[in-house]
Amino acid sequence: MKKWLLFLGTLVAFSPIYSQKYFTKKGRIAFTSDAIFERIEAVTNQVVAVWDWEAGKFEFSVPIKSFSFKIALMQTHFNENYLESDLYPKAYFKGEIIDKTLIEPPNLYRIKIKGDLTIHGVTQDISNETIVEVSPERLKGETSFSIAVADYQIEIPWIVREKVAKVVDIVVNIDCEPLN
Amino acid sequence: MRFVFLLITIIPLLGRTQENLSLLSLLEEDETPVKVDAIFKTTRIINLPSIEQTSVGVLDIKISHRFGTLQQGAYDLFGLDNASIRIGAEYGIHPNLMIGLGRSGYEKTYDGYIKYKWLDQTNGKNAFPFSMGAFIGTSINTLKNDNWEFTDRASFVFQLLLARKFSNQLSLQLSPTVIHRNLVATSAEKNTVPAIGIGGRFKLSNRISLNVEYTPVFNNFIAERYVNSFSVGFDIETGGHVFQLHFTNAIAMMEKGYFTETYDTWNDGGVRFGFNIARVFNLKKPKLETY
Repeated sequence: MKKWLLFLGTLVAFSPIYSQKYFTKKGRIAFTSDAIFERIEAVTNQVVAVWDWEAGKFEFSVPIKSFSFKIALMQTHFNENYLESDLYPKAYFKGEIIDKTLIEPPNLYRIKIKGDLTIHGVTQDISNETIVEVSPERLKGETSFSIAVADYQIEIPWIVREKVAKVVDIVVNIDCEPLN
Repeated sequence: MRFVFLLITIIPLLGRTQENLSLLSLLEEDETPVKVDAIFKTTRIINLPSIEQTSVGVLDIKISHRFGTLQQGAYDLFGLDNASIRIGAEYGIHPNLMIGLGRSGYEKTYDGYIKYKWLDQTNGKNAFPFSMGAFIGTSINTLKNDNWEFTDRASFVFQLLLARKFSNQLSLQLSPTVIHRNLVATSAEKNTVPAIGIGGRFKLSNRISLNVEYTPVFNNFIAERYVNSFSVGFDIETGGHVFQLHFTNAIAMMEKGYFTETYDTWNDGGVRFGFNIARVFNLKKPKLETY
């Protein structure tokens, strides 16, 4: 009997479901600023993400300088004038899962998330809904949302008001592996 | 036995209390050094070549004017009636290599150069304190003179570029320079002239910076009537343009000219208003994979 209890206890204690965490260092974020005269696109593949699926918590970080643009001068201006990446080298998101529904067994979930997005040293609340694929081997998901540039105290000078959009569309892609 | 059982169940629970800590701290920080970029706003500080490179596939057209000296007074509208012009073009071949061509009204001179950067200032672990590059150029004057062979018209410049961004605002550059003129006017002047270019910028806002440069030449290498050039000005950036507005005592816009043939002095009002306008064109658009 005691042997059985011990076995059961060990099973429960070390069951991966308790502490299953996932991570990636190669997540992807693309953003688009679609203004009247100019469409600006940028992408990075250096997004770091860590998920604690059971605890319903996750964090992202992305180096601002890792965003690459089609036009080199845009990248310089993005870092120098808008995001001020020397002062604010990274953007962060610290979020939690507030609702989780299994929509397609065994591993497709619809989740509602909320959290704090920090860009340019300014933190704002963000909430969103998305679908993630979760298995013991991976956690995979994509989401898109929009942010207002002004919310993060990023000034758009009057002279380029037709070239830089006030609202920027963001697409996030992650494909995480288990973290041991 | 019961104790072991307790221990086994409790240990993982202890682990769970640590989850209040940042999840990102579970990963090791990346230790790759980060390149320091935008040490200067454009490829010239004022006259001096800066450490900045034209990006790959980008053509940078530079139109520069130096007006007459301020001492000419209101009759010449403080020099604005007279202008010396240089039209130039620069092109980025490789992230570390660019070429440039120009034509100046000053002695009807054509100039060509390459600029190569082989070290980047970096931040982070194993940081490197400065960026390093070289500027190698030649200039040919095409004034009418039957006594000159083609080789007599040529001069050369070799510059080492050492630049450091001290802070988001302050960048400084040292450019040890050697200028070689194939032909000089008098025997008192040396063909090969060592000099040093000193330049800096201080950002007043994200789009405006104050630039200063000074180009002292070692004693007794150039004729006595020539002086060192000193320039002060502003970089104003508006989207695809950089406007550089400045005051300088140099009229020439190629190295051989402003280093060794500047004759106006600041003391006597021998200062000229001038500007460089840079406009970039993307000849090659690199593909960017987005959604």
